[in-house]
This record gives sequence, structure tokens and C-alpha cells, in this order.
Amino acid sequence: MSAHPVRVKPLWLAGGVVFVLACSLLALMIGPTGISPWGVLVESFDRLTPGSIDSGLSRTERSIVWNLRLPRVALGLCVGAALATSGATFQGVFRNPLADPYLLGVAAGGGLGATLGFVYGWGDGLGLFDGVQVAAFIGCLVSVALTWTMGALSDRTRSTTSLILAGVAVASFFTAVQTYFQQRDTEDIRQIYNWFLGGLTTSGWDDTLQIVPVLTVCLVVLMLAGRPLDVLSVGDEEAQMLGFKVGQVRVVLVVFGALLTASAVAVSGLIAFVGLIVPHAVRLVFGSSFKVVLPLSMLFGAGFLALCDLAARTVLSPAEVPIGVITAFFGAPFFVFILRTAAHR
Amino acid sequence: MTAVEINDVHVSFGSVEVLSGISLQVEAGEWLSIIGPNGAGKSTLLRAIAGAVDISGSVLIGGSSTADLKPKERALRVSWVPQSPVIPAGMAVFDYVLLGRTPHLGLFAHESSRDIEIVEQVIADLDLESLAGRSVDTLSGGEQQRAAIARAVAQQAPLMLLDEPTSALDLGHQQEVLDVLDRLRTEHGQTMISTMHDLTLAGQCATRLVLVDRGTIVASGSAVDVLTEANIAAHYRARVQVLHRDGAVVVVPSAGNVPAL
Repeated sequence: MSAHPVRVKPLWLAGGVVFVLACSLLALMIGPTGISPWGVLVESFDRLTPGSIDSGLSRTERSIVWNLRLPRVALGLCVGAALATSGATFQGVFRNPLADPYLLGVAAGGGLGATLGFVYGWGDGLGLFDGVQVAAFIGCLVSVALTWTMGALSDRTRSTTSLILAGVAVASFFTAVQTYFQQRDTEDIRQIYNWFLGGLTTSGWDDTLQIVPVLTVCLVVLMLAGRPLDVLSVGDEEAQMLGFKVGQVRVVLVVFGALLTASAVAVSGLIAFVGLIVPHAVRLVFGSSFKVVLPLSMLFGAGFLALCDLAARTVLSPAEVPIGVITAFFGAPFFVFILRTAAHR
Repeated sequence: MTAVEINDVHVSFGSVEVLSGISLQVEAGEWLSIIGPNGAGKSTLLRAIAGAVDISGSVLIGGSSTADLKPKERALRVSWVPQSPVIPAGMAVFDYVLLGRTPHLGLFAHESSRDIEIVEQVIADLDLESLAGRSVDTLSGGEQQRAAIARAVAQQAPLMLLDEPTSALDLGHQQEVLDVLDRLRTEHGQTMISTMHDLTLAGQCATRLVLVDRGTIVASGSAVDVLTEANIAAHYRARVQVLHRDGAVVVVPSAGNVPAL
């Protein structure tokens, strides 16, 4: 028999890794000061490994690569991987193709947290962490927890529909509170507005290093979740009859998906579209099993966001275009292209 | 050995009682066919046995109450073919049938080569080889039904619950599927409980028939005992002739007025 169980092919994974590396390389080379690919490669290799090699770059160029571009590229890769993976997870958990990482009120909760952070000036420091980021992170998690609690009110089994509806209610309420604080104190409105459009402005390595531990744990767990998500695709009742504690499996997946989203939102605000479009593009090209969709979404999401950030900081240079504008502007037509190609196969 | 013991099971949806005190014993290796008119409670009875609806009363499978069984333990004892299975988009038939191995695997585990062998065998038995690589959502209704049955067979549970397993199948595939299930029953001692609309077919494959109407069992026994013109007239409000040919009971619709109740 020729059929085999679906698995992610090593070649596809290799393709994803090459895409990540290529996008990173471009993002490191291009900017107000152009730097040669060779210089970027050698310098990055030198810094990331013990030992010392001379990349032939000037002091300024070295500093640009190591202190400005590389941390930002790394952050872009992390955020892209997080959003695309949590988007794919939520699409599976809720069996809803329109699900994105901001489902369940996450966007509104994070937005409220960040707004409170700006209005009360928490950004000036809570020790090691940035107060606005912490507030956004907590806001995301509080909103998910609240949605989860309310999801049981109308339906004690927490069907996907009741959770999604609870998410809508929580989002509306948090948005109302957020708007109240924003309008009460209009001097922060510009900062708040920028936060809502998303962005990867960094100062050094701190942001990236702070989210890496959470991200690593969540991504490792969710990379193992392909088969459980495939089982959930036959619906709660049949999955239950196949021996799944559907409620428990769902809570585990939602917790890790929400942690990923919250980490991404904390350091980059709300970046639209990545979590929705990348999993769909992967599905259309490589197939719909979550064993395939999850790892490839992580890789292509990472590279895609690094590339979008490159555009965000170069098209209006020295000014920056919010990255959410770029992800939607390039993402939407690209998605239509993929849809067309898939339909013609 | 008793495979299933159902004691005074009641099921209500809101204020409507769908099953009103069903008691039934099914021995291992039996094929029990539940028949009855639309809305009689046949599917609900299957779901009650499967543990998929809240019941009062008790259902014991292999001696343990379904209320005490964890989903995984239950799935190792009972497989269920729903009347209209949820068909996932873009999943190949092979992977769909492989889902039947879920209760045999840990949450994050991969399928072993043994699981894959079992699935290959089931796919061959149910004549699905040429479809193994196709997406289930591109198949015809009958092909999907066979894939769903294959998934349940791959689950290898001693008790199979089949809700209208042959409703979408052509005559050849009806016989083929029923033969496969009957072989599982006679060779491996699996117990089958199915609901069926085709009374002749129900009488042929089952070792015992139970006629359910308005949530209660109104007749039970062999095909000869249950499939009588009087029973069918009373509970289906149908005009039929019941013929007996070579030991088989054949139910033939006939002309005339619908009998009054």
C-alpha cells in the first residue's frame, strides 16, 4: 500500500529554516547603512559562537549589526513564530478558520493593560521589566481567563461557540474600559495608538531575552500538539469517543497558545494578520494536518515577520511604518495569490 | 458473558423524555439491531450506551459503569460510528482511519508501525485501498460512511455501536460492510449494536432485534418474532407484507391504506 500517515517532510522543514535564514540575512544587510552579506554572516557567527574571527567590518558597522539590527531581527523572528503558532493552534482548537491569536479577548485585554501602563507611567520601570509590557502581558492572560470562566456560563461543557461568544463579550467590555482611560487622559493617546498598530522598536537585547524562555517552552509543547489537534478536527463528541478528555486537552492548548500570544503582544503590541494568514498559507501549500501546519507555521511566521519589519523600517526611512500596516498590505495580496494557486492545482 | 447491561435508562432533553426506562442485556458476540420509527429514540439509546448523553439509570460495559470509565478506558471498550460523522477538511482517508488508534496512544505519542499495519488491514478489508490517499471531504457519502466504519473497526474495541451504518451504501457495499462486521463478530467475538432502517437487512444481520417506539422497548426477539405485520403496522404506521424465504424475513411495502392506530 502506498499511503502513509502524514508527517512533516524533512525537506519542508529545511525549506522553512532556509527561509528564516534568508529573511534574517536580508534584514541584517539592509538599512540606512548597507552591509555586505558576508560581513553580516561572519560578524553574527563571531558573536554567537565562542572564539574570534575578524569580519572585516568597521566598529560602527559591527555595532549596527550586533546592537541594532540583530536584536530586532531576533525579536521579529520570535514574535512571528509565536503569533503564527498560536494562530494555528487556535484555528484547530476552535475548529474555526477565522480564529487568530487575538481570539478570546486577548487583544482587548492586552490593549487595556498597555493603556493603563501608559496612562499611569509604568513604562518608567518596574525593576528588570518594562511596566507597560508587564501590564499588557497580564491583561492578555486576564482576558483569556475571564473568557474561559464565562464560557462555562451558557454551556458547562464549554463548546467552541460559547467560548468564542464569551470572548466577544470580554473584548467589548475591555475595549470600553480601555477607551475610557484613553479618552480621560489624552496626552498619551499617540503612544497608545502606536502600540495598537504594533511595532518591533527595541533597545538592545532585553525584550528578546525576556520572552525567549516562555516562548521556548510554549513552542516545544505546541510542536507536539499536531496529533491531538488532528483528533479534535472530528468534533468534540467524536474526539471524546476516541478517548480524548476534550475539555482538558483544550485547556492545555489554550493556555500555551495564550501564553505565546501574551508574550508577543507584550513586546510588540498588536500585529494583525500574521497569526491568521501564515497558518492558512502553510495549509494551502503543504496540507492541512496540524502535524505539518504547526512546525511550518512557526518557521514561515518567523521569517515573514522579520521580512515585514525590514519593510516597516525602510520604506519611509528614517520614519517607520507600523508593522501591522505592512503585514496586512503585503500579506493580503499574497494570501489571494496562494488561494488562487491552490484552487488551480 | 454479558457485554452490555442497561438498567432502567431514562434520557431527557429539557422537558421531553426521549428514553423512558430502557432495560436490556446484550451478550458478548451478539449482534443486536435496534429498529423503530423516526424519533423513537434509537440513536439516543446508542448514545446513552456510548456515554455521550447524560442518563439516569445505569449502563455497564464489561461489568463497569460507563459513568466511572475515563474517556480513554471507555474508548478501549466501545467504538461508535455516528449517523453523520464530522468530516474534517483535507484529511486523507488513511489518516482519518488512523484516528481510530487514538485510545491506544498517549496524548503526545506517535503511531507505531503496529498501528499502521492495523490501519492498512482495515482499509483493505473495507475496500478503501484506492481511496486511502484521497481527502475524506472529497468522497461520496457512502465512501465517507465506509471510512467512518473503518475508523471504528481500527479502534478494535470489543463493543461496536453503529448508528445507521449502511444508510448511504449501495447494495454491494452494504453486504460487504455487514460481512466484515459479521466476521469480526464471529471470529473475534466482538459485540455489535446497530440501529437500522432497512428492516429486511436488520433481520438478516442481527442475532436479535429490539423494536423501540416512543422511548420504550415494545418488542424484542428474533426477526421472526419482531418483524410481524402487526408490529410494523402498529409502530411504523406502514402497510407491509412480511414474507418468509429460506429462513430469512423479508419486509415488503404493499399497497392499501395506512392502518389506523
